[in-house]
Amino acid sequence: MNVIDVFVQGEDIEDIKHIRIEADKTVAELKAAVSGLRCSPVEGDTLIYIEDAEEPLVEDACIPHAKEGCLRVHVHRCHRIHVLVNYAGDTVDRDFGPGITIASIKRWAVRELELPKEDAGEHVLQISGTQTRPDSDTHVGSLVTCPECGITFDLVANERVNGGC
Amino acid sequence: MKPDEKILMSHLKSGRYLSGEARRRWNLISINWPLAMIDIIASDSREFTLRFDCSNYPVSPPTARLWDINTDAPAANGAWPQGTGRVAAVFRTDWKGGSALYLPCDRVTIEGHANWRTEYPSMIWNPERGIVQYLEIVHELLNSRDYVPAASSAA
Repeated sequence: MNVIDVFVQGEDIEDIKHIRIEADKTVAELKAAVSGLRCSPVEGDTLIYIEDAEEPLVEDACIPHAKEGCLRVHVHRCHRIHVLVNYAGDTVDRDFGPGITIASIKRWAVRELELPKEDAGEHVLQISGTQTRPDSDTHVGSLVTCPECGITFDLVANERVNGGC
Repeated sequence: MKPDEKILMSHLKSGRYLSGEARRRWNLISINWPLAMIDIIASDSREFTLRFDCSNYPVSPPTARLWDINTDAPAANGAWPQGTGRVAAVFRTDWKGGSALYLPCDRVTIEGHANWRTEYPSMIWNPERGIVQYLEIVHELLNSRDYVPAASSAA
C-alpha cells in the first residue's frame, strides 16, 4: 500500500500540519481527513487546493500524483483571497487562490511594482499594521478567515543585523 | 527524557519542520542531548552543519555554530559560508571566536543586545516557532542573493 505525506495549511489550521494518507484515496477522502486538523469547527463548505494552484481540486477525483513523495494542500471556505500590497506610496492588488504561497505573491508584487532584482531580494511581505512577516511557504489563506477573504501587506526592507558588537 | 529534550523532539516532528525537510532545506544528523546537529542546504546544494546547543529549550533560545562532522570539531574558517551584506553580517568568524552565529535568535548573541528586540522583532527568538525559526532564517540567508556559491567564491 502506497502511503504519501501530506502537508496541510488552511483556514483555522495552526501552522503546517502533517498527515499520511493512502495514495489511492479520493480528494473527498483527503478533505475529510484534513477537516480534523481545524482548531474549531467552521460553518459552510470548504474547498481543497494544491499549493500554488488557483483552482480547487474536484472532490470525486483521485488524489493527484505526489511530487517528490509529498502533497502540499490548502483547505479554505474562501475561493479567492483579495490581496493588496503597499510599497513606497503605490498599491497593487489582485485575487489569488487561498493556497498561493507568500513567495509567489511576493514575486507577483515585485513584478507589478517594477522593483529592480537587487531591491527585490532585500524586501519581504509584512502584514499591514503588524510586525508579522509570514514565511515564504505560508499559504495566503492561512492568514485569512471567511467571510473577509482579503489581506493587505506592506513590502518592507528585510532586517539586516548590523555588525557592531 | 528531560522536558527540554522532549519539547525539541516534538518540534522536530512538527509539520513545519518536516515540510522544510521534505523541501530539502535542512536535515537532522544526530542528537546527543543537549546538542543537535542539523544540516542546512544552500542554493549551490552545499550542506552546512550547525551544532545547536539546546539547553533549557525552548525557554532559552538555542545557540549554534558551524561544525565539521568529519572531524567532530568546529568548522575551519575556510569552510564557512561566503557572502556579502546580510550573509557576511551573520557568518562572522570574529564574533565570539566563531562559537555563535550573529543572529538575534541566538542565545549567546542576543546577550547585550537588548535594542535588537525593537530593531529586529522578526528575528527575536519565539519559543512557539522553536528551532524552525532559527533554521528558516539561516536557510533564507544561504539561499539569498547575498550568499556567494562555492564555484563563484573559488573563481
